[in-house]
Amino acid sequence: MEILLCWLVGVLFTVSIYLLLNKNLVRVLFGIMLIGSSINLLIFAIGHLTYNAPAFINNPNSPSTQFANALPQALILTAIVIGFGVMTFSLILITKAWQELNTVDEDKMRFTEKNPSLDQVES
Amino acid sequence: MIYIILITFFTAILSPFICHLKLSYLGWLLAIIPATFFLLFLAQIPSMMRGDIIISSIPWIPKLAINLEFYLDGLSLLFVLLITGIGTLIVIYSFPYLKNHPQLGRYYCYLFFFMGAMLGTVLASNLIVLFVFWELTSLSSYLLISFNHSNQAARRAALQGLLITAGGGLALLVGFLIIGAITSQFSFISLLTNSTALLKSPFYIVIVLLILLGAFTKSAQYPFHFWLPNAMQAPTPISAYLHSATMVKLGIYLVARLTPVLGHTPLWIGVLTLISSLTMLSSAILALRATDLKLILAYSTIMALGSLFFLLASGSPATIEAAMIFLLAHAIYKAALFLNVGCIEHKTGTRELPALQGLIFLMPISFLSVLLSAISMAGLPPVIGFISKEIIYNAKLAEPNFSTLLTAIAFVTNIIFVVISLLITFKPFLGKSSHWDHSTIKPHEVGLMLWGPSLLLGLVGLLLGLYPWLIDGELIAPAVGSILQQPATIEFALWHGLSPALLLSLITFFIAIILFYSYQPINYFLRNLSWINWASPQNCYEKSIKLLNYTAVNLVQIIQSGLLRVYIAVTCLTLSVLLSITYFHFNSVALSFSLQAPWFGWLLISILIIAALAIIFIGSYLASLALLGIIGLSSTLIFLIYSAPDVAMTQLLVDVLTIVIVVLALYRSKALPTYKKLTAKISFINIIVALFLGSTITILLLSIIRIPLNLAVNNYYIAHSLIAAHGKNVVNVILVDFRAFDTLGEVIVIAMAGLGVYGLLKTYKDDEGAK
Repeated sequence: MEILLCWLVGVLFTVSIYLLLNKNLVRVLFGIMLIGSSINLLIFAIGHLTYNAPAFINNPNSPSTQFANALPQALILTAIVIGFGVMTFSLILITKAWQELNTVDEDKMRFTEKNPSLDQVES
Repeated sequence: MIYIILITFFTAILSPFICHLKLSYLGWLLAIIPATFFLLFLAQIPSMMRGDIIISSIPWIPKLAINLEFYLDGLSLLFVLLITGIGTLIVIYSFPYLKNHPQLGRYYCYLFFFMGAMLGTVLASNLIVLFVFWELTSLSSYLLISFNHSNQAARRAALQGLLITAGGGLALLVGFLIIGAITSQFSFISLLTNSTALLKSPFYIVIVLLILLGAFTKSAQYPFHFWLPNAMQAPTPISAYLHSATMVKLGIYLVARLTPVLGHTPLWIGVLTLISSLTMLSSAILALRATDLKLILAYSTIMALGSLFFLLASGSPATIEAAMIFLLAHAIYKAALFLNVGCIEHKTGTRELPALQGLIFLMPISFLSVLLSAISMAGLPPVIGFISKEIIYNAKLAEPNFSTLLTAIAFVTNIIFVVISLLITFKPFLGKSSHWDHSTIKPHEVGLMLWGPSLLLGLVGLLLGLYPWLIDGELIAPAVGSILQQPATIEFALWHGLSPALLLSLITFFIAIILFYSYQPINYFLRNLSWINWASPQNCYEKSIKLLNYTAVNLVQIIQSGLLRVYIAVTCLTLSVLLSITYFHFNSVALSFSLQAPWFGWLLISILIIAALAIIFIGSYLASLALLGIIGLSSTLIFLIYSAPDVAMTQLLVDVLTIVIVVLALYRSKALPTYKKLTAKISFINIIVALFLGSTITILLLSIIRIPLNLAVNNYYIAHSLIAAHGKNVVNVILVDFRAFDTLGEVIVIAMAGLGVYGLLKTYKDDEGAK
């Protein structure tokens, strides 16, 4: 199953990078959402999978090998929350840009601000 | 000693506030500090004459052999006395000179900052500490040159000075670090006993070249000389202090200081002699070309610095003695001349030689003061300059090798010195004073605080010339002694009797007077030689700066395209390449491609892959969001099955929340534009980039999972979760207990994101905000 998961992570990464490379910022947003999930699965795969043995300790003397690896799970929990923050911020940024600038095309947004001129560089 | 340096820096911080009080005796008040130091150091002369060394040290980074170690010996004392003595006069002089300047406080701040850095440099015994103070002097010089910062020429000159001297300083640092690597110490005192290790080291050549590069840039030697004349943009007291009397002599100080460690080798002598001769001859021509009084003085300063290196090169007792006395004489007369030029400019508004004449009756005290200093510069009796010049001639005539050539160079330099002193004395002051009658400016004598310092310096020169026994054993001998590392006995006399040196002096004057009378055609001829401008190192400097700016601007245009997708593509490609290199470099893990999995695993993974691929081809936003939802839910199931219930729960909640928020946000206001597919070519490139990274990650992941896991941290958490934290759910305990600070940070990140979102939502376009 781990090997299968590795292939899945590869596919998810490919798709998210493809979306991130788009100049349509809504697609970029989808890319941001997808790459978060891909990274979570990647961390999960690195930590090795354990079938049906969550890390709930009832007896302090039980050997640690019989439980799932708890460390990657804690990391993923953190990553999910941070990813959510990033996603929300980008979402609002993009919708705001759509409202104010009337475009979600990255190229067109460039020309809404003044082109920085080169003569500011003091020779 | 450390306290003296600290007090000077402290004064630098305080002086702007003191200036705010607008005291009329401010100049005198501030001068108390350097004057006190001058007297304090003067009191050290007896112990220096005994050959003592005063050391004070505070540990700084003892493990790297870097300590705040300061020491005072004869050489340091000579420099310290120059810094504090001339510094006192400059502080007094500056006050009336810049009286009405709004930034007087800032000026004094920089001046004392410089003074502190300068004292630190000449007192430091640790090479690294010396370097730090050395660069601080460059920095304060930068600030002082650009003091009139609204003037573009001043800013450029300041930047030029900084680039050259600080660049040289970096060479110096490398040189010091190599010394440190060879001898494993930076303290100068311990280097003295270790010099054979350095002389035999294969890096000796590199060390010498780097350190001399530092000294040459600081002391404006050819081909780095051009920053010094440009630095004349600084206020005149600064030119007198930094750019003639003290800072530019740091290179001399360094060479003198390191002579016992690195000197007395053919390389050392050769490089010093060659560069200093080139400097003297080139700046002699440039000095005769200039018409600005300050420029003439600047070029003559470069010549003097060249002469000093020239004298220090051979390292024989006679030439070092000559160097030390010339150093002192030059500092005294050149500072005075600069101050006088400042007075003339202050009253007439110009420093151009052709525009000045007949000032003798209008500014008689200034004339007297110029005369005294110019006599010293020309090397006429009975002032200190005469003694120093005679000693130089004697030393050069007595050199064992190439004595004729060396004497000839010294001879030419001296002729030019005499011509310059004749020019400065007679051109502005003689002639008809009626020249000024029709002018709007009527020059008159300056106040005591302006003529006092320069006249005092002139009188000191006269005093030391008449009574040279005041300084020979007291000041010069300890300095020479610390360069030679053996006690030196020196006796100066004004009259040496009829000697070859005296004869040479007479010829010097004779030629100089001829040159003086033919000055105008020579000046005119030299000014019209356009190739000098074209071939000068300054031209190279300007060209290279231009090229640098041009390249930088163009490079930025290429690298910083401003397009998000280009940045992402570059990042992805770099990441893929680096990861692939790493993988193939450590290619020791055999990959396994066995696709064994339970049926639900196959099912979930097929759903995930199909959903992901579908997003690429579906243009509709809503459908894509639905697919993203499917991906989220399927991964939730994977987490659930493989023993991560907490992750599954959070993922489920966040996923639902995400989809709802995105749909609401995207469809809340006006409809989004329909998605236009990219052109086939761009799509193809994007797919290649994405595939490259995706496949790299898969291969890397496949090899990572073959490596046995190190479960030490996990085992610790599992073993201590119940006992130490009283929690059964290990994942929860990790988050809220073992790594609670991480969670706190995470909360802060979310709060920040929330604040950002709030800020964005509250922002309006300017016109909307007005409604």
